Amino acid sequence: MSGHPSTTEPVAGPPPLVSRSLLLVVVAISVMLVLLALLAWRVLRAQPVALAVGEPAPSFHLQLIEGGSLTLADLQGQGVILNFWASWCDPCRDEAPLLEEAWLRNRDSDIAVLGVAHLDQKAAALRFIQTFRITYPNGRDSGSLIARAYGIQGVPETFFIDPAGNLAGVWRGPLTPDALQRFLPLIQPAS
Amino acid sequence: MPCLRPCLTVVLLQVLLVGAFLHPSAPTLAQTALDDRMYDIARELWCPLCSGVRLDACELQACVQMRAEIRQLLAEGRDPEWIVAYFEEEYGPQVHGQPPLRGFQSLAWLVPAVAVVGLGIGAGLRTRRAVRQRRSGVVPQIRSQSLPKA
Repeated sequence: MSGHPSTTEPVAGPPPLVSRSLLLVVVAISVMLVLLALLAWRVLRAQPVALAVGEPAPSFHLQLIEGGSLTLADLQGQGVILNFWASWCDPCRDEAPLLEEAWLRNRDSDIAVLGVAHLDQKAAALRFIQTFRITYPNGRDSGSLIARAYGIQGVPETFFIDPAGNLAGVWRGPLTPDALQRFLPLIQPAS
Repeated sequence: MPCLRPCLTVVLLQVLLVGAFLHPSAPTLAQTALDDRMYDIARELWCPLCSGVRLDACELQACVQMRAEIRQLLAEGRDPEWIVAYFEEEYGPQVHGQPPLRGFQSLAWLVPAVAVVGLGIGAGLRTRRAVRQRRSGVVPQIRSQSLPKA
């Protein structure tokens, strides 16, 4: 009966430096951490960033409500008043006549006014344009891409872009005649 | 005429009911069904202006207009999947309550799945090892107890 104990004892080989299960757990956790880090980086990158005055204004491609399209590059050499608005926004109604007036008064001196309808429907935006007899170009921001690029916090918001394509000023809220007078000289093309 | 009064009451009620249905402002059954379908879709979407408010519950004018747009698209014969995709394209991914299962944002689904699978594998391996250890530890003990001491 002396053979029994030797058969029941586990055969002990050299102990592994790191157990296989521990290795698998470490690998799984590492993969998860890498994926989480990538996701966090992407989410943070997608957050709207506040543009700084003097920085190049983000380029955009705007589908115009009246048809056709316009890019920021098309307006190179002109001062641009880029206005974000919506038909459901009450303060946008207050500033609409002022923007139209600014457009009519300055379009011959290479100042372009451009409206971007934010989170709006085409029919509602068109009604707004007709109600306020707006004649400057307006487009819809499909997918809120332009709004995200400019980091808008709401509507109305107006960005002033100089002829070199750099951001000269930002006005959050309904535009006032004083604000317009303050920013217009900054985007006036050199004559 | 003892039944005159109740009969008049019934007739009056019938006239009122018919009047209510024929009134132009009263919603028809088709309109109600369309509204129900509209709210079903709006429940899947989120207000792009608020944080954590569903489109069906949001009282902002922007959301009222968006619900009207859903209703119009349904009346035009668009199916709910098309409308949800259209909203995502028009108003941005924030209207979608959940990240899409494509592109980089699929990581939001992938990470928890990898975590669950990884934890499952880890737990399985640990359990298997514990069972093995118990077997290898317990069985010889019993046998050794049954063996006569030399």
